[in-house]
Amino acid sequence: MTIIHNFLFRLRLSFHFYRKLVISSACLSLILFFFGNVIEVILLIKLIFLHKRFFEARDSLLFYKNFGISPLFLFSYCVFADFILSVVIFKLSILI
Amino acid sequence: MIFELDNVELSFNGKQILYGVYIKAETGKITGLLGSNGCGKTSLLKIFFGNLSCNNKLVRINHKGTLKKLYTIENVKFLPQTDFLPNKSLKKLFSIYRISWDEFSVSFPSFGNYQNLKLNELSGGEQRVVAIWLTIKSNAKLVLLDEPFTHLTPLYTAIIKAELLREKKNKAILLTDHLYRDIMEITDDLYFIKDGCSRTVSTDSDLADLGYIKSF
Repeated sequence: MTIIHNFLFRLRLSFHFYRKLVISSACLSLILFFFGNVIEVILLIKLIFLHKRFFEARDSLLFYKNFGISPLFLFSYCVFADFILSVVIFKLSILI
Repeated sequence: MIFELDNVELSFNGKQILYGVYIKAETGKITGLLGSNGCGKTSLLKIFFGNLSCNNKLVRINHKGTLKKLYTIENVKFLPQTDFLPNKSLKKLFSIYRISWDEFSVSFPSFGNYQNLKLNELSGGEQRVVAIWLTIKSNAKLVLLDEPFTHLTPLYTAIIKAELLREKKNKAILLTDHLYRDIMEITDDLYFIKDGCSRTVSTDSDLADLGYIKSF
């Protein structure tokens, strides 16, 4: 139970980190969709974008390390959450 | 719990900074780390925590060695010299660390109505007090503090020292600072880093012999 509780706590904390990237990431997705890029290209560009933003924020990672969250875990979380966001925007843009 | 850091070797651009360092921190004790500027104290804390790679090191927890980064396997908190907390409200930060705001505001009455302020609305010294308090009052098993007393007023230093003495019952504490009198007053074990190696010291004359303070 404690392990699950700790894992959920780390996910919540990781979301705090990702939240700072959501708006810029969503804007980038909309611009890329607007220019008619295919989803694979968009996801690849978003991956490069996330890596760049992650590298810029590396000094702030110490806070997350204090809660046992490694940079790899945090980056994986951001990639996963961002891919979901991109796919949702992609589907919505097709419907519209 | 006993945390040991052994056989540390660190070099930057071919210059050997640390070699043959041994540090032990255990529950119920405050361990101090002294040394001149640039001797590698901060690097040592970062290596212990797992935030800095080095040529060689061995971390032991209760005499069992591990090659993993300490922060990934144990509840360890590290207070660096620089700001590291995100710019959230104090209420949110205390909730993340699961620490009572009331106890903090009793110890630091001047923070009484700051609960809803964001961290960057406080002065640099106030931000430092918050960071130190969150780190030492957390439920960590090992606390690493890099210059906790620097930039604090004497009153705040006294409060933090008293709190460290209370908290050592439940956790191992390892700290470094240049305010060596404050360090010597509260530490149970004291290490001195010189020429890349660690040695134990206990008196002012030991420090004078090592060239850290003036001889009397």
